[in-house]
Amino acid sequence: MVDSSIKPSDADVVQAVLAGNINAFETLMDRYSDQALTIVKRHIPAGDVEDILQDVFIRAYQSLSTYEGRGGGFKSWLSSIAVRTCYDHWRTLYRSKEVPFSSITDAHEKWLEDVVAERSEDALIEKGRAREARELLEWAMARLSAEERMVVDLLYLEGMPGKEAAALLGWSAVNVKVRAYRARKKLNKILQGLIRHEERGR
Amino acid sequence: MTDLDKDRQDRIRLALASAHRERAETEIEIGESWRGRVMGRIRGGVEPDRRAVFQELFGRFVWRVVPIGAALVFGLVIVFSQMGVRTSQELAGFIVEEPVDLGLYAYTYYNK
Repeated sequence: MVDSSIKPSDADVVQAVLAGNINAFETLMDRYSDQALTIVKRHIPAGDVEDILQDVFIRAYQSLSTYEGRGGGFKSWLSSIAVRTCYDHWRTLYRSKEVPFSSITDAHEKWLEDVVAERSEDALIEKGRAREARELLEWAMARLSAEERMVVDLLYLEGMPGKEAAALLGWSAVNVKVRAYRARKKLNKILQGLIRHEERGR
Repeated sequence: MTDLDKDRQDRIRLALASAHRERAETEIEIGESWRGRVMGRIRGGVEPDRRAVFQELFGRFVWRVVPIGAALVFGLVIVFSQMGVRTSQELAGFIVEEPVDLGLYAYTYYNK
């Protein structure tokens, strides 16, 4: 007798979908939509998350024949698709010059000045929860390229190792390293400009 | 003001990383309607993305071929160097040492 409580493996589900059982794809969505949602939320503004997450699963479905079940399995394969979909989204926006450019107010400059003067780690983390912090981050990120934006997100803000980021983005480790170095330099310059502006205003 | 020193950079990074995490913690519910839309698109006839599949397979193939290509180039360099093929430096040296000979050679070559 076959035990119906045994869950089919991801590879079995993939095979079923490829064999024509489209509905089996829902099993993969059940298993991995939360994880993919977490990734997309990190890189995309809240208003676009649902649409991008939809694109992630459509793209996964379209590329299912390339899934080999190696390494971290379906989870890591889907993570890579999620990160690349976010990257493509930004690339399209930057190309069409549709990246929203917010403006900076005295409150943001004051926030940055306070951060630079702060010594306590807990206080810095707390400061990062402020609205000004998110807005300033968006403002600075809009001044980077799509590539720089992704490496800043993954390496600088999430602390991901370069090799892991390279695997997710499908770039070479050297490429990621070089881009991360340039992006960090550019970001520091952007923020430094704000601090300078604040100091001049005194 | 001088460039942002490392200490200041670290403080800014810590605060911005916290802002980044905060963004990821935003509550977004994906429910049945979202799932229905995805499955609707798939059932509606989403074709396999041949370009994406090609790029994926091409990427894998290229990386596998790179060591073979490098070994081939290395091998060819050794073979040519042993065959006595003159490098550009040798030719330049020849021109400097024997400008008249080369000039005559060029003259006869172009006036055959």
